[in-house]
Amino acid sequence: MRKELHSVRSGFVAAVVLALTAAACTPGGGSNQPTPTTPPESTTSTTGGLVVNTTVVPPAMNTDGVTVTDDTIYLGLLADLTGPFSGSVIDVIDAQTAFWSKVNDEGGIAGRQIELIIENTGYSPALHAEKYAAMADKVLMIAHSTGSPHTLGILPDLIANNHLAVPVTWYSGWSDPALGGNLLETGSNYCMEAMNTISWLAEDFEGRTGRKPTLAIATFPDDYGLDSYAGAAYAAQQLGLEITYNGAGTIIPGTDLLPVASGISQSGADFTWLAADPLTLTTVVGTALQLGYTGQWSVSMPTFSDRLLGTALGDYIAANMYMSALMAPLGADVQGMTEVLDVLKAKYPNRYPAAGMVEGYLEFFVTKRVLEHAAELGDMTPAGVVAAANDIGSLSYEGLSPSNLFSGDANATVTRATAIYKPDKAAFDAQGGLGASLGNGGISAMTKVTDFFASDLAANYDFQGPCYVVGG
Amino acid sequence: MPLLAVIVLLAALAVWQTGLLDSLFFSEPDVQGALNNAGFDSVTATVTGDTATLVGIADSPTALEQIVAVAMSVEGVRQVDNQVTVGETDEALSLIGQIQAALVVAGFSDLEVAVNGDMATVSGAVADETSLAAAALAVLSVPGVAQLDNRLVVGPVRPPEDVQAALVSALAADEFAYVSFEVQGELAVLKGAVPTEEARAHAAANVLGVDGIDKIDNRLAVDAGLPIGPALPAEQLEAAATTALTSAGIQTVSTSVEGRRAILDGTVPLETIGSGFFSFVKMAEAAVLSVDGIDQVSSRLSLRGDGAILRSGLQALLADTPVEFALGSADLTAAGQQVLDQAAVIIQSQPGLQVLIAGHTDTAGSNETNEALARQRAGAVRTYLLTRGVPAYRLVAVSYGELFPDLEATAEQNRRIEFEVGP
Repeated sequence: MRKELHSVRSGFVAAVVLALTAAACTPGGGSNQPTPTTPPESTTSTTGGLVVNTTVVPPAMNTDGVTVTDDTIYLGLLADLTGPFSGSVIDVIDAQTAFWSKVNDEGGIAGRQIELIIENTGYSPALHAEKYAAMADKVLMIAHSTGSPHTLGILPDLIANNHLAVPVTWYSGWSDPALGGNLLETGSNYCMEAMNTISWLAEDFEGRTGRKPTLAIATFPDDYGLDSYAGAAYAAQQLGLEITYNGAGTIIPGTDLLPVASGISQSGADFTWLAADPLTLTTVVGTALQLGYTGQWSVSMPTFSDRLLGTALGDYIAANMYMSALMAPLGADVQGMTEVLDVLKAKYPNRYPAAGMVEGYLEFFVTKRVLEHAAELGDMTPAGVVAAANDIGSLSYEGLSPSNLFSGDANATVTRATAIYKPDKAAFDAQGGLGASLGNGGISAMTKVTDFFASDLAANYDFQGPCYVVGG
Repeated sequence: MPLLAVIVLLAALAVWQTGLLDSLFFSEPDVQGALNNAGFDSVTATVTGDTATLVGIADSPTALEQIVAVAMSVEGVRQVDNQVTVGETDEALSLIGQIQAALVVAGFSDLEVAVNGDMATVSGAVADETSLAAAALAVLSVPGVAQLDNRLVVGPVRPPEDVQAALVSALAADEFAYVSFEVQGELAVLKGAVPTEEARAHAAANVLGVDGIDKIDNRLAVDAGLPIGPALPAEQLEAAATTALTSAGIQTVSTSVEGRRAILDGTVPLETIGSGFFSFVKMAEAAVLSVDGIDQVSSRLSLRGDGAILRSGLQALLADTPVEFALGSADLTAAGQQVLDQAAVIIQSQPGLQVLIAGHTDTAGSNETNEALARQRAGAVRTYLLTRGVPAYRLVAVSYGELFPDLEATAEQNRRIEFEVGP
């Protein structure tokens, strides 16, 4: 979300909304004009150590009566609950429900309870679009949208409906003024994380061996995988690393991955960069290992789950894999983690301490902050929420993720810092392995290799648009 | 009335109305001073009207009683809001640690120690009179200990189960329906809520009266809104709650009951969340609250099932009955299919969790052959489970081939399928 984008796009948006409203085929497009309200009362409180200026909007405030009623705010969540990322996304959604439940217990936002309308998209762009269309006139904003192509697919309708969305995808395109106007992303992106991680690994490897490492790359075929590939390939080219296997876009869940594993194994690469999901990781890594691969692995954040340490590959993964991090793992020693753990422990004492829960908190946090600001501005309509998001400026996450700047050009606002972690099997076993629980103090079993940092490559990258251009 | 007298009267009236008169003529009871003089520096007292609020830590139950008595003895104090808990100050903790170390060196590892200034109190049971004397000497050898309150007895310590049973009896009254406790040695930790301050005091007194309990950590909250009444047996309430949930068409939620509070565990079905996640939660809560004897409810409902239950269920199944194939092929035998029928039921009972189907072989033959056989067998298991209604997204087949042989198993046992609960 960038302030100045509105001047760029306002004409387009207005034209789309006008056309769709005239055709009477877009719900929520023309009925969201706020009426004057009683001036709100401002108060100041603290949330997780942050000072938050909150405005209590009088109950009589007018709303559109559908997405916000006198007592309820409806939020939409479009989530992959049965697809390749469901393992992590369910943790994300369950964390969101825990935090919203606490907000409701404490009186809600602007005196209204939060209700979550959650739809399973199965990681299908078509289903994603269908589910969004069905909920468009019922929700104030989209508080979760899994997947890059999926979010990209509904973007024209988000703009037409004046809907803000929180993408659960770290596609570099969201920082592009041509794409990111109605989206409120957190953290860096797949492209930058590949640049940072490969830069660090190359320097570390060369320091130990006196030569540059060779690199294999294997990724998903969509915006996620190819955006990651773009960053990895750029890093290899800039650092003079030989790519001995190029499997960009070759990892397709549900298909025979033997060719990918064979390619990696036969490449003899010192490192393999993977951008996939945790389950296909087990197949690719397990098969490549059987076929004699002896190199190491570095993986994008969505590719990894510390629950992999509980599989037969656990010891091997702990010894041979690095994980990029766009956010701090659960239990990391950062200021913002206290509230996260307190709420989750109370809600799910028997639950495995999944790293994805931190993402759930971040989505909740930015959504809550925007809603509170919309209330301060006295406009709890979809358009009011978009305006509030544009007015935020920047957000700090107290160490849970690098701060986001929401105003300035793309080069200024793109977040470039990521971190590197290593799976920690000893810590995993010490807290009970897959039997670890939040109530017993369980946290993510990962050891920090680096703090959030921007490599020279990422820091100096001239960001004029997405690293990977859809259809480009 | 002379004018001067009128002015004085009006001035006095004004002063009285603004409350200044109180401060001019009535000094606030000096509870803090009294406590400090009595040596209870770790307790902070504030006074509002005739009520003294005490906050801090007392070294022992006896000290706690003394603290309250000192506060009540101060002129002007009619009530005490006692928020002092029995525990140890940092200084005392340090001294306790030294005493415990001395006792361990002397061969006593399970005695309770408390300190109050330079006095140490030791309690517990020792084997004989010689041991009793040796323990006392060990304590008095610690620098900083000048006096010993020796409460050691010769003979066996009361069994923990007896103490537990006695505590249950001590907290059986209706006013303690929301009270739970933990026992740590001779310390009882009281948790939960009671309806009145009096009930809070009664709970503490009753627990301190239990033989085997010498200290309490009273964490009870006072909640005037708590209903007073007996809690029915948990099993009875849980059964009634299950019936209520079933009547409401809710099959995925289970209930556990503590006192009169129900805790909901389980999952929110995917087919319901499009109508509102919290709507389903509220429906489940309302069903359980309809049960007589349940007045409060908290929800732990989520989208994910219980990974531990799924993992242990599948492991137990395969431990008894491995998945069988025809020799050298990926064709499931009839017995293998029966095992997978049961596996499908277990997997379906815990939604939201993915299952890795791992194919393993022994080490005979080439890597490539073993990889292929393990992959085909894992794939065959996945295909069969799909025919039993398990959604495709929940099943991933993985070939580990001969990577992870069980060195204590036979070759036949190593040609196996294992289930792992996915990432």
